[in-house]
Amino acid sequence: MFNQVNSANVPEILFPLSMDGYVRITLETLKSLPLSHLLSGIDLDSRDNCHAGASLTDVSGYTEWVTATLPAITLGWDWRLDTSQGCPIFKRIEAPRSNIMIVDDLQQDVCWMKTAELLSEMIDHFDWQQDVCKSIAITYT
Amino acid sequence: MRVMSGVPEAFATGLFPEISRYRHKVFIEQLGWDLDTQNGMELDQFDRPDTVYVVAQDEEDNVTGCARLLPTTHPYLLGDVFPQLLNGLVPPSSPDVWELSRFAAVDFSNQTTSALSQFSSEIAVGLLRESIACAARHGAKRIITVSPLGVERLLRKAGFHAHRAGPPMVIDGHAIFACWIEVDQ
Repeated sequence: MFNQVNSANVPEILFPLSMDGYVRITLETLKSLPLSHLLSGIDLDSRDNCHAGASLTDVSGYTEWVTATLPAITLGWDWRLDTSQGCPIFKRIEAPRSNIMIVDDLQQDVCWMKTAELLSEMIDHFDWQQDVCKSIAITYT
Repeated sequence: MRVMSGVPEAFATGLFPEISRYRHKVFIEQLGWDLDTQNGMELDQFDRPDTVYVVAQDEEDNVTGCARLLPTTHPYLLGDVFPQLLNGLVPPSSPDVWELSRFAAVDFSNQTTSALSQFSSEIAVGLLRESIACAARHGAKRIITVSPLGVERLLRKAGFHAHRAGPPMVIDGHAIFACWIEVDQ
């Protein structure tokens, strides 16, 4: 699971940045890195729908997270409000977007599709919803 | 929708100024970007005689979309103005790499699209595909783009393999990022 940033004094960690723009990193190393919330937003269409009286199930948006490392790792994904369990909760939808290429123990790429799958699993075990909720509340109220 | 591409000299008289006025309407009037303007036209130092443009028009010849393609062997937007979006990577300079910028797909005769929701339209998908095909015809094997975040969704919707060059940055109040797009040969 990702760690969240609790301190402003996070040490910078150097990773090789490939010429193709990818940060190549093992899954284990990635999981150990603190991620900080960068920005979140509501999709314009769903925001308009809200004003038109649509239900919460129509609300969707995006969120962006970043590491304090050099080079920086960027991870963004889309979400929607899930009301199927009663209390609305944020749920990731679709594959995340990033500059990450996961490599195996031999430093070989696992391919971008497998990377997207692994990142999706990590996000789903990461407590990101509160930060998104706070950010949305500040931005849109 | 009709899509054509070329350098300004290749277009019919009046089309290039029309593209510049269209860009002013999208980027200055609707999105509020702080860009150089000249007599109601949005133009900058990268709008040169050798710059390649892709333009979409409707049946009445109204401009409904545009994009700008620059070789990275000459000055280009990301390399000269936004190198910080490359996450520390030296800006590319190769005939294989072209830059896509000033991508817009707002149909002003259709009230259902706006500059903020433009990247979900069919015009946007068609224009993006033609822009990437045009870059490929000029020798591009990879495209680097500096764009609003919404372009990522558009790339995915259009079926392109793309990944970020670095984190998004909020510049002048607008979240933008750099993105690599692989060009299928």
